[in-house]
Amino acid sequence: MSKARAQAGFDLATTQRWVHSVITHPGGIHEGLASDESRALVNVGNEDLEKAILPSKNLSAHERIEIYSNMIVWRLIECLAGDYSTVQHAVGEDAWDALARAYIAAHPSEHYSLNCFGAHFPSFLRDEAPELKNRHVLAELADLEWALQEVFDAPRMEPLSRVQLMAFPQDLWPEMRMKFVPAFRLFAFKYPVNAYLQAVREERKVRIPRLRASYVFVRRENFRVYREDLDLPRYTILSTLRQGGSVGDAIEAAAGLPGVKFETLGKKVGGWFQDWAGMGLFESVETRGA
Amino acid sequence: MGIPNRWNLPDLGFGVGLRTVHYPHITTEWPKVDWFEILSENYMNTEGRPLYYLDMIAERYPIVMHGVSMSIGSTDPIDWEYMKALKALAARVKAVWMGDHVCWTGVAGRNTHDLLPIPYNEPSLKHLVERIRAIQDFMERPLVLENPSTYMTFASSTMTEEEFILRMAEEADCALLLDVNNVYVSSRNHDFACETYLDRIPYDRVVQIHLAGHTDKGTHCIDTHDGPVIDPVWANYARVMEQAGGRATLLEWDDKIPTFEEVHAEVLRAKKFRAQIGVGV
Repeated sequence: MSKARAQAGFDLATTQRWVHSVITHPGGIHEGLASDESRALVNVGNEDLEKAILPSKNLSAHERIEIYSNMIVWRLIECLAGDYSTVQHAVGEDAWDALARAYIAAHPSEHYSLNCFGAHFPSFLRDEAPELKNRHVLAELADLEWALQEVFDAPRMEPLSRVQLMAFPQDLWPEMRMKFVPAFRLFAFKYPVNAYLQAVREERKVRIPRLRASYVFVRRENFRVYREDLDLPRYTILSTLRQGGSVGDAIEAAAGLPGVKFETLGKKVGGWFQDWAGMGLFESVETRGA
Repeated sequence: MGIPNRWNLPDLGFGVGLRTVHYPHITTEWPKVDWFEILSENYMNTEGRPLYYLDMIAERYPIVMHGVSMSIGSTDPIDWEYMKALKALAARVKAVWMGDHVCWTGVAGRNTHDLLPIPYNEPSLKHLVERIRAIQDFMERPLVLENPSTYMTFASSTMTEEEFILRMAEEADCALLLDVNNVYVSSRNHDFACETYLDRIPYDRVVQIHLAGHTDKGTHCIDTHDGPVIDPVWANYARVMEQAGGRATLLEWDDKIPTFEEVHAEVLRAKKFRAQIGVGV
């Protein structure tokens, strides 16, 4: 290759920043090439792109660099759609594409793993997409879908078995505090998003949910991820424990809920703890003085 | 027959890229496949099901690690946290070797998750060689770097890709993964002859061959890994076998993935090319 061609180069760091600014520009490569950012790095624009990128026998320099731009966006949109298939369903194909592109522009990937790319999507929907219809429902739906991802990938931890939990003497229980396994998430939603997600997965016709409180937990068992709705007393107990409260605090909080009788609760709560231990929710128990 | 690789890394035979959809089949049928290649990053940021399956599979089959996020050509600082995770995974699965691509994937802390080309010139070569050496020192093993499919040419390139790769491999003392589909794809995109490219490869540094399908757009080709291997790519493979002799051969299939049996059958088609040159399988 000629010396003249070599002289058309720029240092590698500048070249990479320039290529990156062009191929990741939200408006596409033509806008990218015309942008102040790219022009400040390498003074090559749409009119003289061939100074930096050569055409091929069949493609112009623009068409060649655009292959990268298209692939990057396509891959990230695919990734986001994989993580948030129910949000995608809820917003519809056309709106989804624009929404995903807006997210890509606002939160470019900074991690080596694509798994992390969608981490900011729930907060993006909640706080950075004010024009988005139903954004509060969609944000909660995204919270739930992201939890499924997090729980799927969460560190492994041998949980406390039901037998181990029930072996604690009764007099210790009121002061016992539970540490949850990493593969566990607990939510209080304003909308019944788990029911919506289930309906979409079963391909049932379903409308965007209206305001109605729901409580959901997400867990993993034998490397499968489960999501389950909870009633308010159970949510209150788990939530209190999750925040560091003792079993006594948790039961007291649940007993204080309107319509809940302490005696009735007392009969059920032992079974709930057995169920939860059977699901592997608890990593360990801290007892008073331990 | 052929040229042994300088590290005496084994000819593993015919392998298949390990993909999620095949986990249940593999871990129930335990098919007679020689080895698996994993996409490293799929197992680096998780302790979930993928790693659970990988642990089981690694107990029974040789594993080779092939990554897409090393960004060896980037001008950003080397991501040592990534390297530590990679090294830990290699130890966990007893990886026979590990590698990535001759490319960069991001800059200024941003990751495009695409394999971006570098200008093939002296400054790029120097930069790459220094980074490969540093990473090899850390990994305590040679890196196995793959020729990428590329779609554009920098005006600042002063040498051909094969010349760049040849010099990179020799100056950094690294190993090579020769993707004969990528050679074909790039030959179409840059209008060069595959034979010229393949005849310049230093086969004593090649430890692995990749086969794959691609998408032919007429005006150019895209490396999509979504179909069977086409005849011109098999011709590339045959040419490599003639020159190099037996090499660990792997089929990549990443989109529209068929059953495991179909993927495995496709890579086993490579056997006849080895038979033609009398290389045992």
